[in-house]
Amino acid sequence: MVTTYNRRSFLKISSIGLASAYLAACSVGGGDRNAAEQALRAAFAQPINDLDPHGPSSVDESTLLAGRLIYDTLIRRNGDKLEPGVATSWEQTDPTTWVFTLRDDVTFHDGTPLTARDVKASLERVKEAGTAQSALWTSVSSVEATGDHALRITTEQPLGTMPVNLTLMFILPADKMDSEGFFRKPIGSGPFRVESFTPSDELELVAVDYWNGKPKLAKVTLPYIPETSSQITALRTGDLSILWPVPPDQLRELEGVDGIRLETVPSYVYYFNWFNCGREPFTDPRVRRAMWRAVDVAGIVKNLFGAGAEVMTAPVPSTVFGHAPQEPYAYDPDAAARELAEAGLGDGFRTSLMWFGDTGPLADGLAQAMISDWAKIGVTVEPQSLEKAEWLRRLNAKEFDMDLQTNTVTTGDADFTLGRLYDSEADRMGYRNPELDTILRQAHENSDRDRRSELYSRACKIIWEDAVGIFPAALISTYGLRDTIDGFEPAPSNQPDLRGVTLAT
Amino acid sequence: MKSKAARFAAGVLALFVLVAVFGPLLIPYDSVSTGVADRLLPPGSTRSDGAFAPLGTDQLGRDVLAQVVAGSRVSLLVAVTVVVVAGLLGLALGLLAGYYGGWLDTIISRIGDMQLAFPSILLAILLAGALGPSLTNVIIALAVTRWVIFARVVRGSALSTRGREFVDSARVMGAGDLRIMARYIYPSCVQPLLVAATVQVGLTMVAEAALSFLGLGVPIDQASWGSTIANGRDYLASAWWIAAIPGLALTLVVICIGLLGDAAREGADPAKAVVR
Repeated sequence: MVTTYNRRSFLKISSIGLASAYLAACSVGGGDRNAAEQALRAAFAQPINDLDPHGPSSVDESTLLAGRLIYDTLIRRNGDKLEPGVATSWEQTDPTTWVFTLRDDVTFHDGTPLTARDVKASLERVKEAGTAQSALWTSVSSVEATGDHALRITTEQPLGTMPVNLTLMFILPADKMDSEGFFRKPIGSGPFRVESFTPSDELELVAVDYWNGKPKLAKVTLPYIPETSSQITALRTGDLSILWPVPPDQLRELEGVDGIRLETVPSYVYYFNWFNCGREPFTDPRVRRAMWRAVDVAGIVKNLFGAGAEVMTAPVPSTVFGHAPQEPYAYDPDAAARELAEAGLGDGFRTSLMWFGDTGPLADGLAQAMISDWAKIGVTVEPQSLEKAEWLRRLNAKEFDMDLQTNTVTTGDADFTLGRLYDSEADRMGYRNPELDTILRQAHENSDRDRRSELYSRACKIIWEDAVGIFPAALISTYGLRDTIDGFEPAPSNQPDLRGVTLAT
Repeated sequence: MKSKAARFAAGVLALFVLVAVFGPLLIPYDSVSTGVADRLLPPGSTRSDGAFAPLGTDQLGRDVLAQVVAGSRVSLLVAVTVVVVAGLLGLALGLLAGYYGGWLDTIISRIGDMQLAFPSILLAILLAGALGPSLTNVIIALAVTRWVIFARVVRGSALSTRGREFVDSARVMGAGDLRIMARYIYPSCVQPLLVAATVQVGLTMVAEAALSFLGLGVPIDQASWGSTIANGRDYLASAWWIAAIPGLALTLVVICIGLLGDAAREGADPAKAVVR
């Protein structure tokens, strides 16, 4: 027999059912929210390919970003100042010797204590690795662990940039760092430990009891989202809590959106357009200066990047130590054409410009806008938008006429770019100037700030006036943040410190 | 071409061909010249130099209408050249395979089968990536992926024709292989070949756009519908016209080619022909 219900009892039964479903949903939802309160999802615009802080990716922003969270350094950078990290104090006892005292309460994520032996092994590893970072350490002749928590570094020549360079030198556990597969789930002594890592996809981190206080977040996930439009959507829907850097053209999609705020900071990243000074016709500085005058740098930067970049006034961004403002090259195509004529190229010439699309925001646009301006003075430039690996190969082999790219002054000190790239020995773009070499080497060896600052201002002037390259735009990093984020400090290096960040309820 | 739809499609395609051939003369597109002061203007805006931009401008201040017109020429050029090159190659190999059979057929057909086992766009990406971006390389990459389709169609027809009485009688009369293939077998392959070609023209256009979208197609200083769509994909929310207009043009042309192809197939169907 079929049971029948009248209307009233049917409503009663169904409302009880609905109410219990609702209550169940509430409790589940509440649970989710508690977990979400401590778990942060933050996306950097570039993928993290490798967690080896000494390997081929050692100066990639994404690897450094992860390194700052997972590992420790002897010295940290805080704004303009250097402050103690694992090292409590350091001293230059004579021009070629540095002595460090280390903290005795630092442990790796597996519980083993961090000692001077680990620092020694890490420094030797990065020196031998043959990567972009190794170049910073070529003059180091010996590293000695004089005690469990005392370290002495000896260099062949004086190394004034030692403390700054050490802000990039991540410390790994000496006994484990060379074991097979270590970097799939590396162990460090930083504020977060690695929970899981899939290269170019996702890095999951969990907070640990750090010597400098436990981070307020329990968990940080750093996913990589390839498409700009998907990144923006993820931030808008709340899937991401932090996204950086937001490309200039996408700012208007986020401006005034409920629940999202934008914070900007001038970054260490800038564009340069190098001339291959070893190739005709760029061996002649008059031609290089004419090329610069022919480009409406101020107009292009303003129209293309808007609030996303500022016009550069020196070969390094204004945020960097060693920046000295120079006289800007005024946009003057007529003067440029005259200068070309003086150099015997009155009829213009053909050349090429190479770049790769992902080097920075609006790279294609910047390249094509400059090519357009050069066409107006009769210089035909073949655009060569390359694949990254091919671009890198040709850059290292100096197989280019002009090269447009972004560059990051990773240490925030002019030595990292000026000293590393413009030295005749480095021979990166065929420019040779013994006077500049002397200045750069003095600045590299000196540890007196005022003296170095003066030397770099002379170096800036030479590079600028000889137009080794065109220096159009220094990027301004924009961080897109959900309103739930508190305590976030935008970092010019694009490597924000997430320790103080909290998620509001 | 009986149906209204087919007539409409033919009209649209004729217009498209006219635009591709003569459009760039009327609305010149200079890919080198950019105007960053006039970037991202919506359709119907006036540029700072007083020129009218009926379909807006892209992120470098280039006119979208001029870009779409210039892109139509690239699309047409690539599609027609690829179909002609791949069609001729497929015709020759298909005739050889179908007429002679035996080991020659085995080799040609198995190479074709192997190639079909790859998704054709993947093969095109591989080739275009290896050859580097240029219009010629796009044509080569796409032609290599398309010949199999034509070869199969031709082989099928040749296979069914070579046993027919008129072929046998030609052979008895002492006609050479080449003559038989050209005079007796080839005519029976033309109709299916043309039907396959119309369909392939549309598919090739899409494939070219896909390659250009991925940055493997035409070089950055040439306009193509695919590359214009790729340029606009980061601006879908703020400047929809960059990607939407070439996207619409591509969709319309491909649908019209499809309609025309259907009409041609119906016309070529022997069963239908009897009824008619």
